[in-house]
Formats: sequence, C-alpha cells, structure tokens
Amino acid sequence: MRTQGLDNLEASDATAPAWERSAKWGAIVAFLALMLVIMSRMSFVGDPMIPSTVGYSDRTGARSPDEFREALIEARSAAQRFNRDGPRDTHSLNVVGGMILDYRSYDTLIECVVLFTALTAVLSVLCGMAPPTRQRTRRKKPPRPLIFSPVVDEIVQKMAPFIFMFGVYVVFHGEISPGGGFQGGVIMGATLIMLALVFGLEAALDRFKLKWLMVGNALGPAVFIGIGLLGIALGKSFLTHGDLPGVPHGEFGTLLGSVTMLGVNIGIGIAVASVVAHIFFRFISCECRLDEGEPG
Amino acid sequence: MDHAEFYVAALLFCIGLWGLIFNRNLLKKVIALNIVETSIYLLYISIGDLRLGADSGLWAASHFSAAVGPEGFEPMINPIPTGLVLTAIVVSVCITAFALSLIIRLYEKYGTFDIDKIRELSR
Repeated sequence: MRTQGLDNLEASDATAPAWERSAKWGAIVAFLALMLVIMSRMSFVGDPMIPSTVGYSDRTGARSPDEFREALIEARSAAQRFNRDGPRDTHSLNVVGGMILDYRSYDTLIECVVLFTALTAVLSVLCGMAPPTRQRTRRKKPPRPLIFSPVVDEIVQKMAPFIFMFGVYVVFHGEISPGGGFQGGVIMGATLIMLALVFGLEAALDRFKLKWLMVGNALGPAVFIGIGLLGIALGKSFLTHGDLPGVPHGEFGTLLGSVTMLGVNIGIGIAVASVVAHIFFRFISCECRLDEGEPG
Repeated sequence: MDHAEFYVAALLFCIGLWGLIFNRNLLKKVIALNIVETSIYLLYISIGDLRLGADSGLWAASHFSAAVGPEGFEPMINPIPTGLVLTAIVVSVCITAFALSLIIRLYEKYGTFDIDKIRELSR
C-alpha cells in the first residue's frame, strides 16, 4: 500500500484530456502576461508622483524640483517618517525590529497567536495519531541507534550547542541588528529538529521534554500580552515599548536599549522555537507510525 | 526594464501556479504554494527598496538625502513592507504545517498522495 502510494510522484497529468491541459496552460500564460503588464506599470514606494509619498495636497501644483524638495522635506511619507523617527520613538536601532514590535505590535501579537493556533490546529487534526513518546531510560545509557554515518553523528553532537547559541544571539540582538524573536526562534527550533533527525525522536525528546515545549508555546503570547499590559499599568497605551516611565531602558544602541522589547523578543523566540519543534515532532511520530503499520 | 525584481516575482508566481495546477501530488502542491508565497515576499521586499526611485529624474540624490533619515543613518528600506513580509512568512509556516497535517491524515486514510486517486477512492 505504501509503495503504491509513493510511486506516482510524477508531475504528469497524462490522464486529463488534451483540451483541459491546453486550457490550463492558456490560463497560466494569460495570467503571466497580465502580471507582466501590471508589473511594468508598477510604481515603487517613495515615487514622487504617487500621492502617498507627497500627500494629496502637496502633489497638486508641485511640478518643479524645488516644490518637490519642499514637499519631501515636509516628509509625509510613512517610510521616511519611520526611518527618521523610528529609532527615537521605539528605542530600537533596527528600524524593522522597532516597526514590528512597536508601531505594528498588534500585528505581531496576533502573529504569535496565529502560531499558537496553528499548533492547536495541527494537534487537533493529528489527535488520533500516536503522540511522540519518550522512552523511559536512564540518561547515562542512551540506546541511540546510528541513523546516519558516524561523521554526521559526531559533527551534529558537537555543533548543536553552538547553533542553539547562535539562535539565542539572534533573539537577543533583535533590536540592534537584523534578527529578532522569529528568526532566532526558528534557528533554535531547527536545532531541535536537527537533533531529532540525527539521533531519533526519543533522544531529542530526552533533552527537550514535550511538556516544556507545550509551556513554551503558551509563553510567547503570554509574555507579549504581559509586557503590553505593563504599558497600561504605567499610564501609556497597550503595547507601548518606547517611552515608558519607570522602565530602566539602557543606552540607545546597546543590548539593553529597550528592555521591554528584549523581553518580547525572548518570549517570541521561545514560542517560535517550541512551536516549530513541536509540529515537527508530531509529524515524524506520525511517520514512524505509518512506517510500522498498514494505513487505513 | 526598470526593476527586474517585479518581473522575477511575476514569473515566480506563475511557476508556483503551474505547480499548483499541474501536480497531482499533494506534497508538491504544498511546495508550489510556498513558491507562490516566496514571489509575494520578493515583490514586497523590492517595492520597499527606497533606492529604487533615486534615479527617476525628479527625485535627485540631494532631495533624497535631504528628505529622509536622521543624521548618520543612510535610509535603505521602507520598514513597513519588511514587517509585512515577516507576518506573511509566519502565516505561510502555519499554513504549511496545517496543510501537511491534513495530508498526513489523507495518507493515513487512503494510502496515497495522489489527489485524483483520493478523489476516486472517496466516492
């Protein structure tokens, strides 16, 4: 049953009639042509001729370079304003980090909740299947089967802590350099996935218990909302990170330049790492089960 | 060709669309969906590049540097599309995970990844 399911992996659509194939091709080519025409007329963000850059009132009559210059110095464009005022508003040297965690923090909060919801959906779809179980063995005597070559085994064992530390570094430096909770969290989750791939699911679950991963999933939105509520408690609006009275922000441009943003980054990093790893553990535990028995 | 990234994004979108339409394997359909999403990321990132308009005549370099940025910071990107792309990546990860779990259930029930066979078997 399994081999029968896997052998038909060709992209061919041989069974479909000829008119259907040509209709599909025609639709794709027509769509490509339409998109290319649209792209050739596309204007870039910051184009002086589009209203959102200069503003409706400034665009009318501004036809000479000098008038454009005045209008641009007025800087109504959101991009210009964020680039200029972003570091001061958000206490974050990385404008993109400040953007997603301060200006658009509702969006990022809901992203966190989306991750949580995705994990919930995956777990509920796969609820009838075997949960990833951990063998109850003593740590001193790991019954590790050798899946790949010994070279892979050794290198992964030696490199895994450093890769994990790199993920932690990316999380912690999210507000002063490119990076942040999502990116670093994915690196940390990839470390767990790598361990599970090389040493087997049991060995990975031996180091990172599934219970902790469940806690980590919930920790991201919880930390995010908690720090957001801190803004209300200190008399500002929900999810404020910039000028909170009483919060000891460090020197601008250092690791502690925005303490609240650092906390949010850590929360997001833990959540992303545990969600990614948890979803993968579920998938390979299903694969183990499909390998063992007849499907259906 | 002013900015080639737009055309590359359109091409990539249509490659992904081809994969979505012509593949019968559900796993390949998920990969094709990810290619489509990648084209959207490319489009967003490239329309957020503030240097794109720097040579358009009316927007001389002096205007550009006078209008944007604090002292000492060279503005390169518009942070808004970049933030949107981050959101889109997270959503795409979630969609991929959910689609893969549904495919696992389908494989468990029908023993195949072929959408046509699944359709026949489910009749």
